[in-house]
Amino acid sequence: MAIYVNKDIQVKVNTVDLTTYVTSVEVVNAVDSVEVTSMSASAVNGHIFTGGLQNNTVTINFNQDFAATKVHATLKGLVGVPTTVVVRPTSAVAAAGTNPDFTVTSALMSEYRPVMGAVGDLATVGAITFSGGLYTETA
Amino acid sequence: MATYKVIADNVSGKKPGDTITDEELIGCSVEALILGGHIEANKTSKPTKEAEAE
Repeated sequence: MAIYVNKDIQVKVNTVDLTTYVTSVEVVNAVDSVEVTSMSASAVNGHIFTGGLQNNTVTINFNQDFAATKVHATLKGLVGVPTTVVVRPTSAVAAAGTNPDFTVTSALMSEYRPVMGAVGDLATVGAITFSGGLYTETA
Repeated sequence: MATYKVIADNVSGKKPGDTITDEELIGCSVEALILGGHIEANKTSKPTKEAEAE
């Protein structure tokens, strides 16, 4: 797979495919930095860190749709409930080494804004962030 | 093993009318899927009195 332009990123939240409502998505695989600096006569003058717990996030911007089974129906029951989010770079192609599924399990959406925006704006739910959980990449 | 009937057309890998098991839903919130109208619990039919008598 060569370099490409984002236009077909597949996003599934709680096993529901909401791809056609997504305007942007960001998957961040992160770990906490845990300081292990200690007293030492020989150590250099700087902090020393080691990797701690995973601190992953998936941030998704959705257009809003209150129709049955669509955006609102999918998200309204997930506030404060751990779930699974799967992001695939290209939906039209099966998961493979060149098109892997990025999965975060036990991710938590702590807030949801069903209505937001100013007059004349497109109705969106803004940026929804799923935090925590375990990050895996599968072909 | 609990099973559910898929109602929505956007449940990954399923079509409306398909059955989905709780094993397939590991890591997902079944309550949120039912609340959202994506799935419903499969109804188990009770045996009739005639069937019980046989």
